[in-house]
Amino acid sequence: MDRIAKIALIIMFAFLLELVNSCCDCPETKYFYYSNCSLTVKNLDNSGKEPIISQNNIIPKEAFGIRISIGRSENVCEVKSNSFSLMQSAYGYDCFCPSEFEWLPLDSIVSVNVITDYDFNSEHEAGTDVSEYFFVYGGGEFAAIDEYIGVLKNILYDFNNPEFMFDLLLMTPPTMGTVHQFDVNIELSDGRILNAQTETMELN
Amino acid sequence: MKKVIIIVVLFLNLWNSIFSQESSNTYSKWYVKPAFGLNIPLTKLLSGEITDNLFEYSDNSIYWQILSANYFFSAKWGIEFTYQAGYSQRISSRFESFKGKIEEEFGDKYFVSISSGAEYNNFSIIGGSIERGYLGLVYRYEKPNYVFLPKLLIGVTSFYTDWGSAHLKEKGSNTFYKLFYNSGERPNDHYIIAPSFTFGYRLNRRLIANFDLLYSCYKTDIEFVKEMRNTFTEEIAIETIDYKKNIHTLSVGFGLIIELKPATSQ
Repeated sequence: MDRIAKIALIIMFAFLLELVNSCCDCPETKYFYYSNCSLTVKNLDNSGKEPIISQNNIIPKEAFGIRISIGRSENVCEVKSNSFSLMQSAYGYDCFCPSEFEWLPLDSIVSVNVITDYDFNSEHEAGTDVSEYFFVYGGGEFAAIDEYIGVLKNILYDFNNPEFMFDLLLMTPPTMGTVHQFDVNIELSDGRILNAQTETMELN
Repeated sequence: MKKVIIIVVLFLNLWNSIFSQESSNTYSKWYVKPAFGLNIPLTKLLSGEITDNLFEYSDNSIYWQILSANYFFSAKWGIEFTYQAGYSQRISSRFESFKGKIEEEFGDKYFVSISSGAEYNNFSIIGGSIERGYLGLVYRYEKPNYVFLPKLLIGVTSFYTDWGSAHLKEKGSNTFYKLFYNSGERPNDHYIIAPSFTFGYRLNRRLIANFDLLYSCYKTDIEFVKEMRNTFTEEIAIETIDYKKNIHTLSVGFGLIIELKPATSQ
C-alpha cells in the first residue's frame, strides 16, 4: 500500500470516529432567561363550541370568560458551549439528550385576582375580589386559579410564541345588574403587579 | 340426569341398530367441512339503544367455517370440532352510527366531540367479528348418494363490546359534561348449546355437497353503564343498560364435506 493510500485511510478512520462520536454527542444546553412583562385581557363569549373574543361585548352571563395574555420578553443570559466539532451534532432521541435550549423565568406568577368594578351579587359589591367564581378549563377538567398556577411549567424549550394565554371562565353568573367590568391583577414573584381592565360588557 | 343419559344412549343404540343394515361397506374416519352461511336471529340481542353501536356483533350475520372436522370412531358415531367466524357489514360502521346517535340525542343542546373503541374497520378473514367454537357428538346415517348427520354440539361464542365517550359542551354556557359508556368485561364469552343437522349429497367418492341447519341458544350477561358527569360540579348521573337475554339463533349454511381416510367397516 502506498503512502497516499495510508494517509487517506487514516483520515477516513478519523472521519468515521468523529461521525460515530457526533451521532450521540449531546450539545450542552444553552440557557436563556425571560420575564413576564405585560398583561392584556379580553372578554370571551363561550356560548359557541369554542370561546371567542367578543366583538360587541354583549355576552350570555352563563358563557362569559376572560382571556388572559401575558407578554414575555427575552432576557438573554447565554452560556456558550466550548466544545468543538467538525460536524453538527445529530442529537436524536436515541441519545436521550437534554433540550439544547432552555428559557428560565426570572419571575413567576404568584397569584391572579379578579376584581369586579360593578356590584356582582349580594355578597360581592363593586371593588371586591370575585376570583373564586372564575376557573381555568383545560383538558376536559376545571381547575381553580390557584390550583392552575401551582402546576404551571415555567421552563420554556422555545421562544417562538412568547405570549402566554389562558382562559378564565365565570362559573357563577352575576345576579346584580347587567353591565359589568373586571380588573385583573397578576402578582409576580419579584413583587411586580401586572394589571389590566376588561372592556365594559353587558352580561345577559 | 342419569335417566336422561340412559334414554339418550338407548335411543342412539336403537337408531344404530335400525340403520346398521344399510351402512355402506366403507366409511370415512375423517370429514373436513368448509362451509359458509347465515345466522338468522330468532330473538335479538340488540334493542335499539345507543350502546348497540358499541357491539362488535350483529344479530344478522354471515359465517364461514375456518376449521371444521369430524372424526368417526365407528361407522356411525363421531365427534365434531368446528370453529366459525362471523361478520356483518353493519359492524364496520358501528363508530359512525354511534356518532350519529349521540348527535341525534345530545346535538340540540350540546356541542359534542365523540370517541370510542368501537372502530371495527379492520376486517379479519380468520377471526371475523363473532367467533364460535363447537365440540359435539355426531351420528352418521349414510345412503349411497346421501349422508345425514344429526349432531348435538356445545361450545362458546365470543364477541367484543367496547367503550364510547363524548365531551358535551352546553350551548350558550360554560357547562361541560363527560359522557361515558362502558360494558366493563371484554371480550364477552357465552356458553352455547346447539343441536344441528347436516344433509349431504354425494358428488363423488370423496366429495359431498352439504346443507347445514343449526339451532343455537345462549344466555348473555352484558350490562352497559352510562355515566354523565358535570365536570365542574362533579355531579354524576348513572344509568344501566341491560343486555341480559336468552339468544336463539338459526344458522343455515352450505358447504362441502371432504372425506379423508376411508376404512373398512366392521
